[in-house]
Amino acid sequence: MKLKCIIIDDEPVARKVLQEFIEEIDYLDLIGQAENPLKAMSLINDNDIDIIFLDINMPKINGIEFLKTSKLNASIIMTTAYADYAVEAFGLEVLDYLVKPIAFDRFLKACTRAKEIGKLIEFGPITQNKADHFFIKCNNQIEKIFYNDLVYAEAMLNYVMLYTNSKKMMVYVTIKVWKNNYLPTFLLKYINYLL
Amino acid sequence: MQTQQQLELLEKERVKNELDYLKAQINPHALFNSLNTIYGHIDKSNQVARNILLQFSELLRYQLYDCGAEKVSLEKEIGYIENYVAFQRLRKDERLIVAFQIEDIEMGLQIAPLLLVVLIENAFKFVSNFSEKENKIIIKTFTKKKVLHGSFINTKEVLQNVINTNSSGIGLANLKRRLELLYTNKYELTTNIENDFYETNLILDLT
Repeated sequence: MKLKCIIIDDEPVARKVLQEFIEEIDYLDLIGQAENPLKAMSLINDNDIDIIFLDINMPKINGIEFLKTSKLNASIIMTTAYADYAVEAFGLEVLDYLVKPIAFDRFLKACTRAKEIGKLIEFGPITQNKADHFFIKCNNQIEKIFYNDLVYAEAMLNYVMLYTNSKKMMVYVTIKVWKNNYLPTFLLKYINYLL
Repeated sequence: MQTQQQLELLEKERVKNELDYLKAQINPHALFNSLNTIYGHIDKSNQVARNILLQFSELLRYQLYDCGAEKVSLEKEIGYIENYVAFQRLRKDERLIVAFQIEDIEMGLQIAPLLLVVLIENAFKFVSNFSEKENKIIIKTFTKKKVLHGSFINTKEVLQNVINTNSSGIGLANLKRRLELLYTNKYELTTNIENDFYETNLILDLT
């Protein structure tokens, strides 16, 4: 399955470079390009986009403002000449932050990461009350996990890797969200020693 | 002594202001966008040119962003130097042999940025240009007990003696001044000028 992506960048040459890179990667499918976030909205809404390559400095609304004001399901990969917004962008849970001019290897690395987590969707609700297990959605399936089967969880950039006695599962949620919303308090000790 | 320190502080301040001023003029964001535009106009089949441009951008990025700090991580500085050597290498032909040996580097050390690169810059500037004999630059660096050792050797032409001491004088004098300022009593810089090669050794206590 291909990952559907779009480019949002006001500079034609910058879009051209990204397009060339995307065409080199067989699991990426470039759905469209837009010169600003507003023009990208219909592309995003109509196509169930997996990855957005997003510039920061654009007329009307910049990439950071766009992230702050929109609810997006896609993975965001920043592509910008600014080195200064990385911390803020990661705070907004972008998947990666690439600084122009971008080396293809570095671009590929970001896309590989997007591919790994692209299949995953957000958590389903977990049932807690005294239960000895919880459910999560992973790879489009609902997985039942017993607390005492959980060995540990590893905090990655914006996903969590859960290791049970028999398998490992990647769950697309940041460790912060995971700790605050999904993790029963008594399990916190599993997380803490990994951070 | 008091006055000397004040002078040094003032000098430090002046250099920092100068750098900030230059930075403000350059506008890094516009600069890197322009580099990206050039990158995009280089045909994608011309990977060599594209890679050179990327390398150049990395060098600039390091100088503009990372070097604002008083100290940077030694690993990062060495990464910059590797990039710098690779870039300088491109400007020479195959008659020049560059041996760049990075030996054991202890993790977690900090260093004032852009000190070592002065010596490498000089090596490339003043290396011999024989057509019949070997032209060589040998750079070696390692740390031991948090002390950095760097050795920089380049083959030279006999006649280059005079030029060498004069025009490299500026870079070298600046380096000495910075070392004196930043690493008082914690460094040793020695040069050794022979007939056919030029050698600089730097020992720097990074504790």
